[in-house]
Amino acid sequence: MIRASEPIVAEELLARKHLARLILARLSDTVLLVKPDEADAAVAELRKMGQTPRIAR
Amino acid sequence: MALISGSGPSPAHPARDGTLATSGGDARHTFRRSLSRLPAGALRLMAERRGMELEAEAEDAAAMAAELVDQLDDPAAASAIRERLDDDERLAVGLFGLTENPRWPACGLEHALSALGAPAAKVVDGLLDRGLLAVATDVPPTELLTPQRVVASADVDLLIHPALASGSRIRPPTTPALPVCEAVVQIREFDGLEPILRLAALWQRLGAEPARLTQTGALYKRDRERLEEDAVISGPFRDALVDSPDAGGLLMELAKRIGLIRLDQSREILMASSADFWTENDVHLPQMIASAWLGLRSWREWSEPEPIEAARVIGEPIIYLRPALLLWLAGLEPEDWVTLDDLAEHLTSIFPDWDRPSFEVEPAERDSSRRSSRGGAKRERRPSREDQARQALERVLLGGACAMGLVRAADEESTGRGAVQLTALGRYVMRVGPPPGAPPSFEKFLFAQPNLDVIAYRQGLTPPLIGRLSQFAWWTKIDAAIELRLTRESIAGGLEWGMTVARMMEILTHHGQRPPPSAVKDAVERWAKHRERVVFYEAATLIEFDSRRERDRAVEQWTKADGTGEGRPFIPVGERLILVEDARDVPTGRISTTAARDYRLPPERCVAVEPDGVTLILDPTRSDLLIDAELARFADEAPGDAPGRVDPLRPAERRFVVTPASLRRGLELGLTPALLANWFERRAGVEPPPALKLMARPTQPKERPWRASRRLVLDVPSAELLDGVLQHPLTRPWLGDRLGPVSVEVSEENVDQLRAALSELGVAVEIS
Repeated sequence: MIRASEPIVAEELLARKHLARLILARLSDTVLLVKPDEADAAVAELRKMGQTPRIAR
Repeated sequence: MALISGSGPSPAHPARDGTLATSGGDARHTFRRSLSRLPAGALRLMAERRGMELEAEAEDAAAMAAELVDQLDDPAAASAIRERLDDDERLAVGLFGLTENPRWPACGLEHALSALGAPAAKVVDGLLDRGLLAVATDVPPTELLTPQRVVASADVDLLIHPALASGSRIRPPTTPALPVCEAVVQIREFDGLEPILRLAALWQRLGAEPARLTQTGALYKRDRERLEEDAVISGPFRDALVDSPDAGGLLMELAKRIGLIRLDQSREILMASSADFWTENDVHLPQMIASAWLGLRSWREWSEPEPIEAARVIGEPIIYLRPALLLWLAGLEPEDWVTLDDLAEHLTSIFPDWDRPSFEVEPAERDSSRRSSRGGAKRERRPSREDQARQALERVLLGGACAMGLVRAADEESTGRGAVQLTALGRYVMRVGPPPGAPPSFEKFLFAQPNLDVIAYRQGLTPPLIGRLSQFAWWTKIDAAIELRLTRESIAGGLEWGMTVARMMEILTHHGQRPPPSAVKDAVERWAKHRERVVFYEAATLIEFDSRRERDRAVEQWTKADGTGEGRPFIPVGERLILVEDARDVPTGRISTTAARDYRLPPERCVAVEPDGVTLILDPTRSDLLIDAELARFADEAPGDAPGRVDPLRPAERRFVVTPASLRRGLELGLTPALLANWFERRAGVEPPPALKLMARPTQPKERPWRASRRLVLDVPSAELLDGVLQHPLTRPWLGDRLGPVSVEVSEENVDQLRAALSELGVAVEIS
């Protein structure tokens, strides 16, 4: 699951085609649900976008 | 250079290159299993030679093997057995311990023992006879009773009980005596930090981006190139007097053996271990690295490495010489030096084949090959035996051993010949000296610069400090002075490993020769804040409420109860959800679970359509977290009925209404009638209701208006009379469709003609 600090950040993430493919659903303005088994790919894609996501384990 | 990733012990190849420390349980089990394959009579003899009486049944080999192993598990009994070993046997057992490897190929052990001047066959024979060594289980049982054949074989691995190997004291060989130098000049010694720094850099790189492995255990091209192009990882060792091939591969194998990097559960991803590694191992790190280097088999001084997933790694004889050469140096007094020439000559005198390049080529073949190569002037020039011997010694002693800080080098004063001696760390690793003393403390060794580069003088660096810096500063250059760089990624990495901004600044301040520039503090704080823009939850708990009001009240109450007062760990999400990062924070006593959902399965049908065709009822016991987002695209939630609920423990049904406006919103977001039909099939199990289809029908820009007109209804006293009116030729042309038993439609323009026709039939019509 990805939580963005603001809706505009979530929009930015969804605008990235490679990342959007890994998203199962948008739960709210700021929360995106990642497809099962795609967590590593989603983190890698976030980093490619220049994001430095906090990883909560 | 080829960076090959291998792996530690795997189920397919147990403990092939494992360490005693990490695979003790496995090694013990494998050892017992190997013994249990022997005939009961052989096991009974082993027990007799150990002076123990077996309690197991006469033919129960498994029970006998278990008893033999149990004896080694007992520290007092194992110590007594070790005391009874002769010096040569101690050398053999010590080789397992020094290399922290419970498994040695028989040919490798023979090579090392012979280079130490020990009668290899006799030693191995004696240890096998007492069950102190065992032949690995992948050898045919017929081989097991002939130890001499075992020693000569390149196909056999020997196992040792980990307790026997790890507690063994070694007496390094002293006879025949090594000739020592009288005086040396130009002593060169390295601080042993370079391997630690470069391993730290590799840990950083794999922490920032783990590497993927192919099925053969090699790195994928992209990851291989990324590491190969990184000079800090793959550049030649600065602290070595002789270059070794494939420095990156060496680091990779060392990192795996000491546990600094590891494979994930799928065994397809090579990743950094936790930052706790640094705090748990910082004091012993130099010794761990040295022991790992002594026992490395998938990397060797001569050639490119093989992935250790490959069928069986035996390697070249030189890799088994590492501990043997250092043991000869350990037999000298701490102040004694020996020249490489004298060491080579000494080895040749006790074991002429000590420098053989391969186990595949027999010594006789090699010599004849050399002779023939000398004869052919046009053939490729091969090194003379003396050159090869010198190269072997240089690669091991002046290459790896110098870089690991185990050996110092010098020149013999009278002849200028290269000489070597063990350092304090070297003597400690070879178990002939105390732990090396701590180097002089040099607290202020960092210069943080406004451009976010940090210069570190290596005199101040220690393994614990290297570990701390590695978590948040990127190693960019390893030389006399070390360069690090602070980047957004490195700071994010530091926070990921559990550091705080305050802790990072404290390290830079405490060890800085002056306070860090304000630009550094600003950048670190900015990057730390930037990290909160996106949070990725590998796992989290979402708690759903019936309404936003209930959710908000829960956040308020739970946060107070939690006592943090900071709004965490309960994060409101959307309208009715709370996100809890740590499952342990979920107040399980305050919530009831109404449903469990596996999101890998297809979505469940949880929506019912009301007869009006536009009202959708959501069953909360079957719904999931996705349904709200799906419904919100084209429907609006109707106000709930929470106050009047019969059962407060049962979540209320929720109603959603599809209105033209809400549906238009969905269509604008890309919803199509086909997608809508698919959604209704998945979530409601029915087609979209006609009312909804009506709203969702495609509209044409020039659609003709639907026609509407006024119509009258003629009511007749009985059905029979209406049948007559419909049938009679005077009245039939002016009537429309029959609407019921006694009613028929009449269009407005035909009323007068109908009235006239009925008048002729004697019927008057009154229009109301």
